[in-house]
Amino acid sequence: MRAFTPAHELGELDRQMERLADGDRAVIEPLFRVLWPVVQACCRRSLGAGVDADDAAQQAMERIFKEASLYDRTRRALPWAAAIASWECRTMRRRRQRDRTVGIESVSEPASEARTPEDAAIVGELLAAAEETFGTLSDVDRAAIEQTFVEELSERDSLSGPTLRKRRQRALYRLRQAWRKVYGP
Amino acid sequence: MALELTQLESNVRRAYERGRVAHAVRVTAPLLALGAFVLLLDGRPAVMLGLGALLFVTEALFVWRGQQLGRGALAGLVGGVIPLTFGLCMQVYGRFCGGLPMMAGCTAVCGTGGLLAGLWIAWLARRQTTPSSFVFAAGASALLVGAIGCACAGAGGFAGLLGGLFLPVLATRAHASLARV
Repeated sequence: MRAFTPAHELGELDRQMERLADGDRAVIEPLFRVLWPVVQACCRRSLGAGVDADDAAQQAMERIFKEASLYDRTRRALPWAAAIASWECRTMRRRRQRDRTVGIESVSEPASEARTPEDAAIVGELLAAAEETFGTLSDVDRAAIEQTFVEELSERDSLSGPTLRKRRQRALYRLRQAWRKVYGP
Repeated sequence: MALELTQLESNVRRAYERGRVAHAVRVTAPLLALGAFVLLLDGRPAVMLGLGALLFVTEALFVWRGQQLGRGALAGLVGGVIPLTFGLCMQVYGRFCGGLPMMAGCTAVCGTGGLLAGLWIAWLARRQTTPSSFVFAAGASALLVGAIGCACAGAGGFAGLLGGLFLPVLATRAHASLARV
């Protein structure tokens, strides 16, 4: 499948979208095959290659088809779909900012597909150093940081908002101090 | 990728159907008010609300499936307004002029309304690519809308409506079939 859609296919895409809005289920598969690479490319451009971009693209595809009945026939189908994809990317970015969730697996994911062995070695060293520094903290500090950055633990959190915030602030301060002591400012 | 493409495609299909159902309910919800409105003239809540609910469900199904059924449903609603108006006028007349004693007259009024709606549907069906689906949806919709107006005339009014509605539709369908042979 390709992300590039030639101009002569755009008219066909509009017609297929109109048919979908009218209730023609036969065009779901061809439309899916045309739109998926475009939406995926749009999300990867916006969020960078990775799990977030794929999740946003999948949500965008579901939303495009869910709202197909409301498709405005005076508009072009591709910009309409791209607008929904952009909106999903924006929602995903906001959600990530709000959650402040940095899972260890997302750190090990490549930011772009052009990742070299040197990059992988640097990331590995940084992770090892972070884990070593993390090990120097007290149990309370480690728990506070885990609660901050690990989504599953945050959901089980029984501490009240202000207590957790204060404890997190202290733990992050100590983590920074420990890191500076070993690796410099 | 978090999901396989086939899985994503089936998710997309489900999302599409959910969207269609939501769209159908949104579009046809005002029809529920029609039965409630006619209750002001016809004091039989079971009949009126039952017909209103049946109309709502039927229309929602047609709009959900879409294409010729969806277009037919819309045409049927417009056509059904004719016998509905005739029926409502008859009820207003009956209310202010001492009841509806002439059952034959009621049947004739409902039959005339149905005939006009049938002519409208038959005329529109000639332009459709698959007229049978269109006629089916339009006929059912017009019959239910008309029945809300003609319910006061009882079984006779309904029979008149049915006859008037399907006479021109069946005639044009038969004519089209003969022309193809």
